Amino acid sequence: MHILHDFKFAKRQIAKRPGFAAAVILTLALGIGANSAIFSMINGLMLKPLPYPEGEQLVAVYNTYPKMGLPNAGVSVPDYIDRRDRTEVFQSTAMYTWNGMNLTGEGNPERLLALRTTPSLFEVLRIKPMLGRTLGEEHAEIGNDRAVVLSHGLWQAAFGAREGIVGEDIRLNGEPYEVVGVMPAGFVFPNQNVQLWMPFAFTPQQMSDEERGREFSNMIARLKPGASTEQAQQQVDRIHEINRERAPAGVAEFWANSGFGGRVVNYREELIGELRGPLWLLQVAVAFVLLIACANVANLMLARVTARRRELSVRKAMGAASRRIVAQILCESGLLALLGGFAGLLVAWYGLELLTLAGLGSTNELFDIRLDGTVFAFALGIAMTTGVLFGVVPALAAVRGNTAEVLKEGGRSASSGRGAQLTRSTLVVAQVAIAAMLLVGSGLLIRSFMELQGTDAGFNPEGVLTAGLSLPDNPYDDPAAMRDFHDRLVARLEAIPGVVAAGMTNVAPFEGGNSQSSYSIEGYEPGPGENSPHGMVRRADSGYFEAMEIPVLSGRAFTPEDGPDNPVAVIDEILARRYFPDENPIGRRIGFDDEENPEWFTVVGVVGTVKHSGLDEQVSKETYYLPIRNAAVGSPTLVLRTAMPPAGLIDPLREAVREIDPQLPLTRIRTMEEMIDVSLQTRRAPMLLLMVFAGVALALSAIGIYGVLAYSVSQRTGELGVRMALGARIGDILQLVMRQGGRLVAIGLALGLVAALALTGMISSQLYGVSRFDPFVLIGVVVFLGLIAALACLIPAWRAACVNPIEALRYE
Amino acid sequence: MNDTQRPLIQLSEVTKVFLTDEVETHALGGVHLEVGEGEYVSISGPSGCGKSTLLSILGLLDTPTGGRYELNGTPVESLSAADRAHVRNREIGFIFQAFNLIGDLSVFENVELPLTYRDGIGKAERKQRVVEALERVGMAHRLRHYPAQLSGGQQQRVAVARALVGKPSILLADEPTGNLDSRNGEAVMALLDELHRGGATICMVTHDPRYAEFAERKIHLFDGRVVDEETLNRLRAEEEQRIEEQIASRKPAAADSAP
Repeated sequence: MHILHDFKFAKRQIAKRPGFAAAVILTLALGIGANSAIFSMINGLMLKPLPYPEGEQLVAVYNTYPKMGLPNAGVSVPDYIDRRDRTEVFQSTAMYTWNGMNLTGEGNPERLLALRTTPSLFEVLRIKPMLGRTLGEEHAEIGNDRAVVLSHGLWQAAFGAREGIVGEDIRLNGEPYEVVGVMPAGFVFPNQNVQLWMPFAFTPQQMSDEERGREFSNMIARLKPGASTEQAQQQVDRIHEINRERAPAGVAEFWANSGFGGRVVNYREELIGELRGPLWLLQVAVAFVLLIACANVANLMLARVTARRRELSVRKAMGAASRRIVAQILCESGLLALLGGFAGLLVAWYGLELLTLAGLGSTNELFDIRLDGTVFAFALGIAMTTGVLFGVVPALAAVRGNTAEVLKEGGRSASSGRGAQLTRSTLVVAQVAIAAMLLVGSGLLIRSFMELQGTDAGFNPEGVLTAGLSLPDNPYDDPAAMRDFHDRLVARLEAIPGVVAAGMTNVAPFEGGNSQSSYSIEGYEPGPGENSPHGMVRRADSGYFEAMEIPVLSGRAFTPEDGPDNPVAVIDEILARRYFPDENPIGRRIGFDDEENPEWFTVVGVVGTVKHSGLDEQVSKETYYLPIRNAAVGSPTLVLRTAMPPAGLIDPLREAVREIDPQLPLTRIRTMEEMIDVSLQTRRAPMLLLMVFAGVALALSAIGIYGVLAYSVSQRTGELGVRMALGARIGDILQLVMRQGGRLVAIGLALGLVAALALTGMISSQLYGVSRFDPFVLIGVVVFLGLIAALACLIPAWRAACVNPIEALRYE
Repeated sequence: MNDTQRPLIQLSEVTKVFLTDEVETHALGGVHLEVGEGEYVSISGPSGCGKSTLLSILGLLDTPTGGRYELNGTPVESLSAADRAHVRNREIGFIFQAFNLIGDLSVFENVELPLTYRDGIGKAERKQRVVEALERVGMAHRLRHYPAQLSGGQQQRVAVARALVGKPSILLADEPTGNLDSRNGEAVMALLDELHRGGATICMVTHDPRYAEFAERKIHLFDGRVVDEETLNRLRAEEEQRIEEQIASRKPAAADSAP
């Protein structure tokens, strides 16, 4: 019953001081809200099970070439079959690859992303269809593979949710495919962009050993109950050992030199990827913000308890035991924390939207990121913990007071003792230290980001528009047809007013794709233990280098005449330096495909190195360019340079493509600057958020410093009056108070910087081009925090200087 | 003040009006006062007569609403806050009823305080002057103590030393014995007397006639004006008479007919 009574009293106390309550609740709401928002990300990404039954049993299996700087490569069909048939840890396995399909016959042609997969995928994922059935083993045979499973979204959008669609044919890339089933709403694999699942039927050629190295697919598997990733890894390693033993000498040597093998990773871990580090970093950062918020609230509560010393002393005089006083204060702090927790959930709700907008988290709908029961419990838990944290200091202060003294003074001299002052000062020091740590972290990330933005990508992204095309096999798998299409399209694009240059490539930088291949150099023999040349291969045309403004360092770029009759290649600076260090590579030949009888291309030019995947990429792998007119490229990317805003070219571009082939939809229309911007998202989001959290921490610390000094000034009014009576000038009083605040700030800063230096190792993986001991950042933090702290000190100092000595002496 | 004494304080027609919510309170109504160098003056009067206001103006803690105030021959009634602080520091030593020592500072630091607000005094000189001041009040042996470790009388002695350390022209004492028992009160009065005999100019506010006797000149304030003793007695008698009449008029008529 006491507790009920205490809560009632606490409620009255809070209602009596709405300003105080609002300050506490708002401070806590910020702290708890930020924590809950980040936690909901962590919960959705790392803690909640995947939306597949026993999803933790799912693993991704890659080929890997660690000695060639290629940790994750795709999987070839024979590798997949080996792992499917010769391991015991996998309950089921599946292999899949992406395909762009044009849906026709239902209005305008629509570009769809399809997953070509072994029918076993649905068994691996253990998901049943909503209508019809999933792909069956019979569909894994060539000639019997014209079947398709629709996503729920596509079924609704393109087929009006018609149940009769099952069993009917739809036209994909101009060919009929039978709809065998529709997946339930919410089913996502591997991401929500995939709207179709089609059979991946292996040809005898694909299953032969000759296909090893054609690694364009992905593999997923389900572990048997009780089996571990490590066991799977061991078994996959064993298969590779056996394969190496029976492989031809040249192949075995390449595998040994490249470190070729398989890599088994938990599927969820693989999906989370680079997000794990930033998320935990942010969770630690917001925990620090919450600690600062707690310190502020504890200070507010301490001041409040000091003001209530007389009331508490009367209670003690009436026989209240210390534990009752403590319970009463804790009730008040608990109630405030609870209200702060609820307000925090509101902040978290908006915060989560902001986090997503900032680009943190995953856009993959596979993950269920939202405020759910777990997040609610988390918010409630931290609210209660903070309630105790910021309540216990004032509660202890409340029971320590000298009852008789307070009652004798009638509460007039409600000044707190040295102990309380010390506690308050310690809290401020801690706040400043934490704020300094967060500022250092945020400063380092900002510096990194600035360095990164200033990094040369190897081309000029300004004024470049890119767009993807998906060319159906018929007629574009014919190189002649492809060449004709290319020449007509590029000529049409160059005629668009405002277009400075137009080109085509198989993979544009920052597009997300890659293409790598081994090659040979005429007259070059790899030394013992050395890998045969392996590099990134790009198909391009004459306009590509001009449109991208990739510098030609020597020789020339492609010309419109370069094609099958004139097999030439352009290499980048890295390749030139690596294999032609002391000679001119122009005129030398590089070859592909068949080691015994390769197709030779004469090097006609050397161009600058281009970053393909990110501005922070340390490009170590060479790139060679071959004419796109030589090959059939299924999904080329168009690149246009303009002197106008690139977005203005979108409509003329669509029109130009429509003129050449009305059945071709344009996809992925983006400016190159947007693509680079997207690539920076994993760095920008943590930087922005840490900046916000550091800002909040700084603001809370400034409020804390202000609060402590303002309180101290109010307590020292008499002393200030005496000093003024003795001749202290305004400057002397200002100096006195500023010095008091300055001392706390200096100690906090010193501790914060030491801690920051120790802890910045946590973010070293996020840094680029800046040392974690960067003096610019450290000095910047000292100056910036010092200035803010000085401002926070100035207001109470000025108030102290304006004290009327007569009033002050009367107060004394 | 006799004719040979140089006037240290000269107030003429000094008024002080407080404005609170459109209500005017005339705390001082045209005060004339001269205090000569080396003089020991007591200011007394009933509560609310303006003693503290007068002392605040004398000590440059407050400014008069009207009139002139010359301190040591310099007009000071309209000095800026900074200049007033400067004059306070050099010309005036305060002794408060509540001692007003700063609890966080040691005895030495408390006494040193006025010197820290003065430029051009080195550490060694400050130390010498602090020790001298404390020796004059017999507290040199408590240099390192804190106020809370001293008795009330000792604290007031330290406060006197603090008032003396800057070698001010005048000591202003506001009820210096108000917070002391009679033994300590008398000891402090003896100390002030001794300082006066040593040449100090003292202006003391007190409501206690016994301590007022220590001064060589007594000034009486009544309703914000300086009055002589005869006038004071007359005004007091008139006021007492008025109060008695008011009380009598409030007695119930039935009381006369009570059995």
